[in-house]
Amino acid sequence: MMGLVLSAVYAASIVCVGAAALKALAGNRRYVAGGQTATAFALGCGILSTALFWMSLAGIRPTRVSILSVTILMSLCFYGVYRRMNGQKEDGPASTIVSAGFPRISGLLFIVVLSGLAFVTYASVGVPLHEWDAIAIWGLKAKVVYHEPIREAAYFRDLTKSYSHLDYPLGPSFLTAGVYGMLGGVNDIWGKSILSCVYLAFVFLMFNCLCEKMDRWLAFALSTAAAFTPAVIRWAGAGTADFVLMMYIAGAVGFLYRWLEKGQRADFVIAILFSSFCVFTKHEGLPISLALGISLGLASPRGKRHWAVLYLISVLAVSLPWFGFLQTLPQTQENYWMRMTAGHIIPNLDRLKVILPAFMAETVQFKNWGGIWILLAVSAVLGRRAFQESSTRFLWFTWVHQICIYILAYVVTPHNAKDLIDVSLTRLYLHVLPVSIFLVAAHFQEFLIFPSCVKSDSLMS
Amino acid sequence: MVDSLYALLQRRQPRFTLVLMLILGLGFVPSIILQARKDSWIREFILESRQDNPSSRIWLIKDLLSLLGQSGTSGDIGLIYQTNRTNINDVEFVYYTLNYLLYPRRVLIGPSTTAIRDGWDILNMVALHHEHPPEWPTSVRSVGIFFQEANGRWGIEFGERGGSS
Repeated sequence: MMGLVLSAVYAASIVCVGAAALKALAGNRRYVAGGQTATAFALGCGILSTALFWMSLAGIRPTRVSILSVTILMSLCFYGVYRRMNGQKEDGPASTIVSAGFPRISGLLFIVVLSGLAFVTYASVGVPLHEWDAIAIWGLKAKVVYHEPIREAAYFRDLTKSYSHLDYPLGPSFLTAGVYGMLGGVNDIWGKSILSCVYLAFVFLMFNCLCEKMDRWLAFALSTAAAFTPAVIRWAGAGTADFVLMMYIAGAVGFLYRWLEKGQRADFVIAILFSSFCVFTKHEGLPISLALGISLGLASPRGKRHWAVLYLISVLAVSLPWFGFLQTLPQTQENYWMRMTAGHIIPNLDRLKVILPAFMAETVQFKNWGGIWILLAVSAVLGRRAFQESSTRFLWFTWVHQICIYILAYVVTPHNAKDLIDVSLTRLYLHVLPVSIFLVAAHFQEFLIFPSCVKSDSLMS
Repeated sequence: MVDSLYALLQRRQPRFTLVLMLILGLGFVPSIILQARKDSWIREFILESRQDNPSSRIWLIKDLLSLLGQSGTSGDIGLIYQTNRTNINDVEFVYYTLNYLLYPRRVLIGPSTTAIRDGWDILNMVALHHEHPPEWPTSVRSVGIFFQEANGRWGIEFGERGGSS
């Protein structure tokens, strides 16, 4: 019982930090019911795990006192910023996203996803860690960063544990170590309790972003489709970093997309934060952030292209402490950046014979994805006029970049490409899912408003 | 709620209904059906996590956790891991699991008195007992044979972290 209470306190701390940051960045913006809490939770996860990393660099372990202290301190700081800037925000009550909070439909969404949530909760807190990567990598790292400040931990230089990827980003591990810190010890069960909240936050974050683009009922249907996608259910409670990364990608893409459509600077800053959290969550986070920046540059009108450079510089600047720590770690053979050379790529191009069919086959893996990729294709055909919009082009550029990055990674991998594809491709496709859902929304919205050219009244109803 | 949705559909353009049906038909409904099927991952997982499935990895971890919990920081525990297969993945899994579970404690593997730091050392020690020399990862096969031959019975004694073991 105490585990449940302390885990809930930890989740509340995350929401508290995230809500204060959101308030400081976006002011009094109104959200779909549940959308603000979800966005705050997603932001809070990244902010708190980053703060715990900085503290660990300074020699402070995650403990109940240190976590609650940093929560209170950061919340007060963010609230101070909000008070200072109050009245200067672009998003006053007159520019709300939606005129009402849709409490009924949000309530319905919560009820519908309850069964998914129940299973994710069972898979996370009903059984101990059971996934290979969760045990070998993320669980071990969480114990390491809980027991010792990272600058002292011998683990990071112990090559006999290189199978656990000593240089993998530490965001998810610090998120779990935070639970251990609140509990006062390692607990294999409650360590994963945060994953249920991540699942719920992902669903409502998507719903919030989708409601801004399309009719609330369609947003509801798309959000539930995303929530019940078999691969999502499969990996949400597994304890690996992929689902946390997916939540951050959803935030980064959703807020950049909104910035492209509405031009509010708060969205741009929030997207930068989410992208830097991606960098701190998995190695894939850095190329994904680069893909977002490049796509932004390619899709933006001429006068706005410098924002893409600003975006990339900001993401890299926020991630500097992590890059600095990374430089102190031993290099392992699995250094994908160092392998991105003609010497590695050209001799391995014949791997494309294995990689490309596997990528194609994954899109028709109904057991993993249902018909979600077919839905994307159908929506693109029906709403093809959406290709004319820069925001839709941004989403497509991101989608293509993400796929190309993953194909390239399989080309240069030091492992057997086929074996690696077998164990990882579904999880990599999870990273592409948020962009795909936004694309479905963009195309369908275009299909709905053309040729009548009358915007659905539902957006403001 | 259903009535209001029905009324909403009647009011909307046919395109709206088509889009809603496409999202439900290609996104939501197949996902629900797939997960209710016999071969769905959810069912597999729930069956796997039942205690009466001795080969379940989940229960291997549970047993390990339980043993470690009982043993505290000292005393002997016996870990029995039985498998009908000699599978490289199973051996690797035990190795990763031990590394995870034992961190940050130092351990001894009985009856030897050699200090064991982690699962790597355990695997090497296990391999030493076999006729083939340890050559990770090629020695995995011989370690696998050890499990089959000896039913994977280990005695693990805990020592204090960083102390003399």
